[in-house]
Amino acid sequence: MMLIPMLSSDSVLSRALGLWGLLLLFGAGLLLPHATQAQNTPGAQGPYALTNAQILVTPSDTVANGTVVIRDDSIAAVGPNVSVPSDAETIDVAGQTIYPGFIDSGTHLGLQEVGSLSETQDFNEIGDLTSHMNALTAVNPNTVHVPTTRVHGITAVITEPETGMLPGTAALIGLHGYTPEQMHLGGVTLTKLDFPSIGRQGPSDDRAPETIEKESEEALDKLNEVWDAAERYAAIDSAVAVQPEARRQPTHLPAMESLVPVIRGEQPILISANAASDISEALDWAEERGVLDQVILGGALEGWRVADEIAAAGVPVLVGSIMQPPSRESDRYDKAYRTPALLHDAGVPVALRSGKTENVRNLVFHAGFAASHGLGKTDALRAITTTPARIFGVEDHVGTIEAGKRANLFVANGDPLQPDTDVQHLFIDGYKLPLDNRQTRLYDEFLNRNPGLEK
Amino acid sequence: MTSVFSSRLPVALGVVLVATLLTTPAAAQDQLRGDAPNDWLIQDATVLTVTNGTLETGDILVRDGQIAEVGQDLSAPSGVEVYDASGEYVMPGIIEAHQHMGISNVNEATNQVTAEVGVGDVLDPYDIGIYRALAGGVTTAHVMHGSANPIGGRNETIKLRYGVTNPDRLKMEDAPRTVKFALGENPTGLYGQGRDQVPRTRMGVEQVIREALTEAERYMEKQQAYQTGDRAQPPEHSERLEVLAGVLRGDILVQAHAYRADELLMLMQVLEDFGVQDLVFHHVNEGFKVAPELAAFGDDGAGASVFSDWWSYKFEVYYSTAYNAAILTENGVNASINSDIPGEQRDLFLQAAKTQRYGDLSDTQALSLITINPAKQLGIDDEVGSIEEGKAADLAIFNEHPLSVYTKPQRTYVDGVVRFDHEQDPDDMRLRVDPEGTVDLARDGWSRHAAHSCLKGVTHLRATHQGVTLENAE
Amino acid sequence: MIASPLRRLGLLALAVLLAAAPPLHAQDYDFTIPDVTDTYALENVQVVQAPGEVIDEATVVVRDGLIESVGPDAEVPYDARRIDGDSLVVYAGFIDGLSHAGVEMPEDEEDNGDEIDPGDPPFDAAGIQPDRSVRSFLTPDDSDLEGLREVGFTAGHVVPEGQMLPGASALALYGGQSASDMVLESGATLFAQIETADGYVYPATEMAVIAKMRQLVREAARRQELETAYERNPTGQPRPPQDPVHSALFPVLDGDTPLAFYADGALPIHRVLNLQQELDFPLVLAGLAESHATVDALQDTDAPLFLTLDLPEEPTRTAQGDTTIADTTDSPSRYYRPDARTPTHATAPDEAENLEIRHAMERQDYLETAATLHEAGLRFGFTTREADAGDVRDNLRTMIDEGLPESVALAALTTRPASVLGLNTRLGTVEEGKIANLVVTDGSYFAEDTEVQHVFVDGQLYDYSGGESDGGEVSGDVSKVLGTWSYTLETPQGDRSGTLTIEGDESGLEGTITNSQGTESELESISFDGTTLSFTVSPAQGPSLSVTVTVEADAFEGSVSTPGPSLTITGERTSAPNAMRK
Repeated sequence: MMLIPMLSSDSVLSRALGLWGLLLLFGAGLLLPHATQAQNTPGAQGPYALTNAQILVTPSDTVANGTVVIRDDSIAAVGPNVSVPSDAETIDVAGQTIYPGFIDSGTHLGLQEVGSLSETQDFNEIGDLTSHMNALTAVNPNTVHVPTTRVHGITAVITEPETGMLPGTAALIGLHGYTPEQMHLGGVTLTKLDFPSIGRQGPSDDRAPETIEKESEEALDKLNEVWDAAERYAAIDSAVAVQPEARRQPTHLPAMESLVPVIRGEQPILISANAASDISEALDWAEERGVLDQVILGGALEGWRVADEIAAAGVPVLVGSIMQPPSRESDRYDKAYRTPALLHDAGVPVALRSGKTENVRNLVFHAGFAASHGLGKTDALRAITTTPARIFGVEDHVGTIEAGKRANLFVANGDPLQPDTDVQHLFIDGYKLPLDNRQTRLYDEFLNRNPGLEK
Repeated sequence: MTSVFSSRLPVALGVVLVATLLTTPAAAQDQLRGDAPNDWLIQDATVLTVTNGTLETGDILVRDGQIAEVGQDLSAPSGVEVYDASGEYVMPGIIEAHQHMGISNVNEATNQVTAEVGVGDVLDPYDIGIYRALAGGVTTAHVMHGSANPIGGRNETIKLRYGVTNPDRLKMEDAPRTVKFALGENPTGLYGQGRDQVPRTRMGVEQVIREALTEAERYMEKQQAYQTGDRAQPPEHSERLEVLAGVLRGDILVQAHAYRADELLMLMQVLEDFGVQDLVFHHVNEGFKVAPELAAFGDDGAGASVFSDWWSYKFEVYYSTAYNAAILTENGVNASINSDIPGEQRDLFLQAAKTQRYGDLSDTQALSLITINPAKQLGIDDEVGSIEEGKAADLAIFNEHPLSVYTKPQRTYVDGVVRFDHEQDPDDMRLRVDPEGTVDLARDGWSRHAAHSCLKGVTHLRATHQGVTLENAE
Repeated sequence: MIASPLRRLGLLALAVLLAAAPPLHAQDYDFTIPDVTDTYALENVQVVQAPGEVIDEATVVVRDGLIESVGPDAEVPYDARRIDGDSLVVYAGFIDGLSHAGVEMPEDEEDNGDEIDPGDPPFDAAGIQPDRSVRSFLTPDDSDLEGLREVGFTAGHVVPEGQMLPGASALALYGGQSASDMVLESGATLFAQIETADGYVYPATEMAVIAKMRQLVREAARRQELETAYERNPTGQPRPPQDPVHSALFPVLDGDTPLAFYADGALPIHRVLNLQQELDFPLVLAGLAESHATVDALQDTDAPLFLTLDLPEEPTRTAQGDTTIADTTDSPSRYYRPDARTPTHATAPDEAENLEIRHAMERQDYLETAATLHEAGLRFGFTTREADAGDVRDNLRTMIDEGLPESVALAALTTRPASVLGLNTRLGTVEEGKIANLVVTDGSYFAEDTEVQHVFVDGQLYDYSGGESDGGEVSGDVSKVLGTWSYTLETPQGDRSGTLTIEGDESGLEGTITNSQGTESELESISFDGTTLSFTVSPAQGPSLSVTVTVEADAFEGSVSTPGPSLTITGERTSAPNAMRK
């Protein structure tokens, strides 16, 4: 292992490296303010050296006893024989394990504070055609839900808009930062399409099968009309670009404009579909529209029924929430838990999504259930680390504990999917973050309330 | 054809049909469940008794649906079936203190006080949710009226005897009767904001309850006067006040939906004023703030049946903590963990396990939250809630320790009868299907709108109100 | 009123669409010829006096509304209209165990919904009206009566419509000139259902209906006690509360008047039985569609039972549904795999088939319900409340095919209801002195090709022997016209649209027309020759309109002939039945 971090294409990193290189050369490390900074700061970058650790470099590659060096926002070095830089704060984590930060591939985190209060909900703009809405805009970096989530080792989430056919773009956000831009991870932006559903919308939906079919056909026609229009828009836009002076801009239609990157193959499209027939329909549609290569499938609760089709289409899937009853009353009771495994076995890349807001923290238990229901621990861990990183195209930045990647990782005193395990240290973008949050503070205050019964 | 008829031979009421040929799933159910043996020897398991520690390589002898003996190296008397549970874990059947499955109605949301109605009158033994609960190790459930009204209807404690179709057979015969109360945002939202009726505030909720209990007091006085001859005529009969009089007499236990610390204190004060000693709060997200007061209520303290970690779905649960169960437990409050929403009743063992992350409860403390503690809250702890000789053989068998995230239920016994078996059960466990229907279309995911909770039945009342309040009504 | 041709035309077009036109000045030969005599002699008929009691050749004399004589040697009176009954069969008129036939409820009163406290509505808003009687709502003009008569029903236990306690029933004849003619007995039972109130008022749930039943019965018991005491000695006692609702329940408490509950599903059946056990009232139980699942519980009650003559239909599947074993087999259980699992996507198609079969099995259970009840030793009559009169004979045949003995079916239509409704001295058999309610057929009633020829109600003849069938000629490929069509009628007032539905096969077509307001009318005399479709529609008043169109592919075009100029009608087929289905 190298002492000096690998060069990275990341400009911030290379600039930082220049500075650090100088400081190292002149032995100025001891004078660094960070090294002696108080522990109670909301978060501080290192350098840090986590020593005597078991390291889960990737879900299938574990270093039994090694060191991880964190410098700036990145992992500087990893391995059994890594030396601790002299300027680093050393944290001895003997007997504990370092895991790459977990990724939840579908949430509303940051977009809603209190479920029943619409004034705190920002994921559901009015209208069916709101593809120009960007979830990132409305992410509240200071939501009380962020600190309660990341202390479970979850360091990044996809946060999605909802309602309407084209609700807008979802974004991958890291769970530390004071502006949405600081949180935005790898620039990941996914245009979301809630594919028209022919499934029943729950037990109270008593529409006749014919009605459901008709309504879904109408919705599909509408989608095709929208797409036709968007393709026209893109074509005009391209034509104008050739001779900007001579040609007129298309009528300004932000919703259409927002679809241009998808039409041009520059942006992934996240298609939500759960019923088997919806999924098949969605894959056919994407192929017809020439966007199949860009498709990421979300939800896919019944994906197992058409796992072969999904595999043949080469489409990755963000499955979940799996912690729910199976989609049909006649289904086996554990079918939803098994869906990730059944998709995986068919050759589909599988990532997990909790679908939650304030309880994204339960992602770890979802992974545990997926593991025991056929996926196995290694692939369950992949489904919340390397696989989503690859699906979102950020595998060079996150998902494993390798030098050069972002320092998104945590230290746990056991299997992080087990309820009785505690996270001991947490790093996001190299910041060592406090493990308290409002829920732990309430615990601290009220476990032995003072005064108690008598004042 | 003949086989269908042979399964319909008349037998005495209450005895489940004996089917010789398994031509329908219902017949399969009868075979498996109705006429199934209730004498078992469960061998070589790790027995988590909850009340008497853990027995490694332990045996449980079940005779006639009851736990006859717990020990090691027991031998099977003749006629007793043997289940080899080596490597597996047996815990008491999980008790769910708050659910709305298995009932046709949840809320009679037309009146602030509807103590006269009872979900026990509308049990639905066909609900697949009952089977799915069994597949999560649950054997007993307290199925409840909703939380639309300050005083709702009576609840019912049911045994999950999935397979029976006579609704009465679900009832746990000796369980004390209970009645639902509800405080806070649900009643104030429905009546005050939705209909411009009292209560709009927590002040109003208190007065609605006081008024109803006072009326019940007067009712009892009149009845007594009539019985002693001080009154010539019997008072006008009231099903509603009969139930509330039962509350005042201590025959019917109050099970109150409540969240905020102030309203917990309010109801304790009200009940104390009326001499009512039995009280279990449900949800109680701010119970941790007044844990000492809860512990000090009445003779045995007020119980608290909480969610493991639900919060932030409405304003009165914004200042919550997942450490609630742990704080309550450490402060001597009898706490349980419930799942409330049909569909969520399948992983209570995981919800209990979370208290080891949020507050480091011991294995026994954590398991108690879903076994003996809810049994105490429902007044059925002499029959269920732990693995003890003489109790009902309600047992949940897991392949790993039930507090491990990787555990999976293997078998669930209710009264000694196997009602869930992951080996044997087919996929389709419905007891009936729509004769005019075809294969179900799949539901599109788990719609939060459909996840009926404590406010089920009031949906259209709030159609003019913002729909979102309904999604997370509980 | 002088109508201009154009105006008339407008009204006429509306008549087609609304099936409710004002009187027109066209000729109308549809008047009734008065009967010359009300004495009839059915000669040389086979008489099924009661199930199993058959006289092969006899004469039945009907006079003054009664059966005057029955037997091989019965004398034919001088004033009798003779009906040659060679090859005819005479049955006792059928008795309907519970229905709304002949009942026309008044329009809802202006609802003063704003003033009703949803938590404590007045009795009528809550659906609690045991103090009213169906007697006030009876009319011989109700169209349901005609349909039921045509399949042999001549009397029944009729109940008012409503919610939990809609009112007192009557035992009524299914014919007559006036409501008074119809009534055999008023107030035989109080009709009851576990049915929530209209609108969102208490009781809005079944559990509240049940609680309210308890409240009403128990409070009625108290009031009855007070009234008895008051009657004994009113002096010095406060006058007991007077209200007709509670008072109406006194006969129930006395055991004199049963509560007649309608309950089809297994759960409602159990709920009614539980309520009866708890409150101990006399019970009549009708509906019972799912009673095959409640046999045990029913064996514990001595309540008279009336089984619905409705049966579940096969689902209409959408276009892509292929025919499966479930559609074609008579014994689906042979193909069902009760232990099936679908571990992966590979077996999903097998799963679908297996589940189809399961639904077919469930239908089979319903078809066998009558046989199941019979084999369990339960005796029952029938109720037409939820059945279409046109399906009654088919459904009876199905029940018989599935194991219900014919004699039991006949008893359930005649002697059983007569005895449990207390009518057996007057109805139920073909015997001298009984009310002349008869069904005359040209063969065994339960045989498929048998036609009902005559029905007597209270001695009055309803003759069906002339109208073999009002269907027209049908030939060619009928699948070209089957299904649902949307039509557009060009009228001087603009285009009117609606839908046509046509079903049937080579042996005959039937159908309905529905206008844009949703008013539905039957199509009559439908004929089709492979390309030309014609039919007539009769508005409630005014002359019939005949429609002739040419069908090509999934469209038609043609005209509607009216007393004025004819109108152009075009249409397009919006759905066709699955060609593969039988």
